[in-house]
Amino acid sequence: MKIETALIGSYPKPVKIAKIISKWNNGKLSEEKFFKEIEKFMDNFFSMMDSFKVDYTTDSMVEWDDIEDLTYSFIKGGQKEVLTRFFDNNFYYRQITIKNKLEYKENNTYVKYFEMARELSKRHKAKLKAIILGPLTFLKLSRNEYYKKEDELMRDYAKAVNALLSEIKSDIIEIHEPSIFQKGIKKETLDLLPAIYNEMLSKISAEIHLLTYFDINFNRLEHFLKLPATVYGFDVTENNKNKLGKLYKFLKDKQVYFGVLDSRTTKMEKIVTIKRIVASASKNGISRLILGNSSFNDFIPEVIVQKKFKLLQKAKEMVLNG
Amino acid sequence: MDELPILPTTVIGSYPRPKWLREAIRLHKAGKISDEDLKEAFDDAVIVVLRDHQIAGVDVPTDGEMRRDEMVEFFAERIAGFKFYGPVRVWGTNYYRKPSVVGKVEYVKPMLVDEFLFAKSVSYTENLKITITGPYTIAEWSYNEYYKSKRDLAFDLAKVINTEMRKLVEAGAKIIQIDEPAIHTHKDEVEWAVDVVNEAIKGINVKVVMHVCYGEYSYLEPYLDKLNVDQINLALKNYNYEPVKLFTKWDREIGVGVIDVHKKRIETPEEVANDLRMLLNYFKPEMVWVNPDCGLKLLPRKIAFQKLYNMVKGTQIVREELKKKGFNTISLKPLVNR
Repeated sequence: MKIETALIGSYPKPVKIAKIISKWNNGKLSEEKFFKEIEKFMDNFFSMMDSFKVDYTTDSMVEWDDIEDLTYSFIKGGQKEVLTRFFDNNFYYRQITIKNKLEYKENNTYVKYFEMARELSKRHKAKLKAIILGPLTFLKLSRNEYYKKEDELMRDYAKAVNALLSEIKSDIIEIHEPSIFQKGIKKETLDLLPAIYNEMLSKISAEIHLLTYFDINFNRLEHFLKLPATVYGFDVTENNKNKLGKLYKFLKDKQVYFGVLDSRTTKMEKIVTIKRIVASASKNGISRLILGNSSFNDFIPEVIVQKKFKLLQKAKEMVLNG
Repeated sequence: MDELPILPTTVIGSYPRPKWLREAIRLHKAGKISDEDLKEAFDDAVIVVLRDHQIAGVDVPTDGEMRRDEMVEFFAERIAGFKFYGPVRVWGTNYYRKPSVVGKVEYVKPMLVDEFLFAKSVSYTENLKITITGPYTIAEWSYNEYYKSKRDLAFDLAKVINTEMRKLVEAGAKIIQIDEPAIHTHKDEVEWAVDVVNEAIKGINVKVVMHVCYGEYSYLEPYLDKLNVDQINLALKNYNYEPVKLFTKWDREIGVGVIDVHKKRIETPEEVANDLRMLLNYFKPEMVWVNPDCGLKLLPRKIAFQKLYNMVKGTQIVREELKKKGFNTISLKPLVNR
């Protein structure tokens, strides 16, 4: 079994960089200076990922407030409005209210930042992933005031994402789809997802890391594993640890991402626990295992994120060295 | 006087810190002014806030929580068992120092008594409200590295908060607001979270208010009758009053949020009056208090003041209408024996 490590989603935005962003937002900083600061931050971030020997990383999401903000950068038809709780976290995002047909926004900032990250990442070892919000989670996080049918909304969203992915041509795409395990999703909606995903990823040749977090719902697992992906991701922290035994039954010969570093607590994981998870994953026939953080790293202080990735690096070395 | 005019107006707690206070805090952090100078700046700021509230005509003011950077951080710094690792983002570029529980949480010394006594000494009214963050919210907005469960942590925090509330009553507090904005975060935890709040307010026989805002009010609704508070106050304007129907069975006092604290647009007195008339279709006039949705601290001070001013003016319009119908005052006495 191949073992790798990854950072998914975001890295905590230091207060210093947040102040720079505020200045930029308030027109108190030139574009040139702002992009230079973001570039410097990203470069340092990639160096840090190298120091933790991480195999896959995002660009840290420093340029975005949250994943809804990231999405807003490349779609037309919505407006950022009410401050809304992100799942059950004490973290809030501006909800997109969909007021018109969703379309791809040409000349968007997503592409600009991704190009910047790709250029910088060439000087570093960790492979860069492009972040995308899954169509179902986009539907659940947004407020629909335009579409009569949910599938129409998701299809138009998928088309916009497809246009973006065609433009950026990323080798690896990280899709966040935690809502697939959320309560209250209709079966008809779930049944539509494979076709919507096929549309979203049509003619896209990339490795797809499809991620879930916060919960694992076994009634939905079949639907999740039907979606076209290379790697299927699960949050295996907190209560989900107890679900691992049952989960393995569905994962034989699959390429899997396990979020073993709990992104919602400052409590440190134990190396022995990570080693045990790796051993049981191997025993249960998982073909490739990527280990990393369970969800967005914004939920914990930067110093803890660094400690956790150092611990993961140590755990990986111990596993590889027997 | 243990009476207030019908439709008493109040604030939720926080108010924008004056610019000069922010500067004093910055200088203190940089070691350029003494603890004594900073205390003087805080005291002066409280006087300013109360003056703003007085000019606006607020019946039940607070001290604007001038001494508190953040509602959980403040208490975690003063309760034994907490540790801080660094700031955590809540939204956009807004942060707080989310604490970690690394040992048994225990009461150390009074946390709010001095601030209450000072505010009382300079207040224009005896009907001053003091706010305290509730045990469930402190537990939910902290990392738990020590307790087996969040529930165990929350019940220990309830003991700490109860001790502080008793000290506030001894110091003369007549209205205490327990802030539980997180109580409706997890549907499966609300039932015991209500027990935690009841534990925190046990034996507190002054007016006890619970503040809840932003989130899924429907999670709280099934347990409302188990809550031993005299009043709940809620963010409603932000939701265009949609959640009101969830609270129609609530037969104690309700503080209605008629001011959106996340928007800079200033509500007009007529708008407030119209909203109140609509709300009086759902609640008895003698049970209604009027407040903004939440604390005002994130707004520019001028806007916060004008919003409060218009809230009071709008309330006065409806108050006059109610007086003609024989509603004049309400009692400050607690409705529940705790």
